[in-house]
Amino acid sequence: MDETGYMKALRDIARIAGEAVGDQASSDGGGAFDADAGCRVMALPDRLQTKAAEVAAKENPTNAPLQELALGDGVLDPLQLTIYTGRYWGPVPKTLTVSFMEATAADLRARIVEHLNAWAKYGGMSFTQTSGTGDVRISRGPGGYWSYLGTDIKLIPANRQTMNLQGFTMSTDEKEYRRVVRHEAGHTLGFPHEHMRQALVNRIDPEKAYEYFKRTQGWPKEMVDQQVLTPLDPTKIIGTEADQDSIMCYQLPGSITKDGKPIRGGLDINPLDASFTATIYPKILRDQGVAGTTTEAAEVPVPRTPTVVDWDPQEDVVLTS
Amino acid sequence: MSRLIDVRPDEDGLPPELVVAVGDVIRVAANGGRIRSGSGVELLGVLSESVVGTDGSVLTPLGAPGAVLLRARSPGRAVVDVITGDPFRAPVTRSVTIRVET
Repeated sequence: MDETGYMKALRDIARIAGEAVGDQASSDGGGAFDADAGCRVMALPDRLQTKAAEVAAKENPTNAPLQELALGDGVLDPLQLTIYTGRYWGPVPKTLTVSFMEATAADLRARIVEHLNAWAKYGGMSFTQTSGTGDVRISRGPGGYWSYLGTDIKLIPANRQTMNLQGFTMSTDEKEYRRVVRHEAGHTLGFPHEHMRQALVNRIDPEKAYEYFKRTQGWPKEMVDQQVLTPLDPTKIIGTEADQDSIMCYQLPGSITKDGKPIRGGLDINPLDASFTATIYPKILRDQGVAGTTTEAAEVPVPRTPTVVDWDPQEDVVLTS
Repeated sequence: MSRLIDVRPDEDGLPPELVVAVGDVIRVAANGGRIRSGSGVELLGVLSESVVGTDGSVLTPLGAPGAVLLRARSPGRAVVDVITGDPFRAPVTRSVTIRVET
């Protein structure tokens, strides 16, 4: 996704969030008081936007503008800096088609797709089988469990799988479907590994990790660094607090942590996963019948802007620190 | 002529002994591997499978590594551990003796 794409996605999210809370400002002319409008998103006047962003960043560093979204000498409007994922599909609900690389029985196909769609309960992204070549192509062959990240799947040659679920059959335990298939579906939606969050990586003792994975897997230090010790760049992600019970978090043993306590790892989509998904992939447009495919963008309603309120600049509150 | 030998332990099993020739490269579908003992075999690496995307970039999936590459360097005999299964939950270690002939 290029810079223009990021900006459009971020604007769309802001607009959808405004619609979700019933902001009618732009549709009724933008300024007239409407006693029936209910809760509104209220925006500060322009002169205070920069100051507001500075205060927000000071209060919580994750509110800071993302460096990679800087435009030349300028920086994006703070309203557009509330969410970012590098492989994000965008806020308009989409249905990704799914096909299988090997001959796969109908009941097994349906079971796997049902678990992919566990995320659709909370957000606007869903999966559906196709007899053709799917956006998501699943192999059950060797290589373990993996998936490409988010929109990267569109770059994978059509004769290659985008997701690997080695050995999954109808005999596989239902718990494994929840833990593995839903985890890999999360990657397809653009979610990276939760155990790579800085707060969780900080709990790991590198020397213990090197020894452990060398002994159990034969992994060199570089592989351990890549798999468990390199935190995600906090300026490139936005999300919940690091969550060791997320479905996207691996289980790591207490023998490699500094405090001796394991990083538990998630077994299913948990409430934080669900709420974050609902935020970045809002269902509202799907419920309104607006949806897109990965190849055909949905018609996006004209953006609305929050209601701007203003007062005498002499009444502005000056914060000192 | 050197050969690329594809070994898939979970699908095809592992023979107790694998006889190869100097120069052969063995690709094992596994999450990890190590040379337990012996000589003649070099562990080239534990690697993550990647593809060249339609935009020309190299793309790597999120997940554990899935390939172990070994090279038969000289005549000898080595015992190699091959680790499959989820590395973070229930890894399975199996051993194979690789005999390298001239």
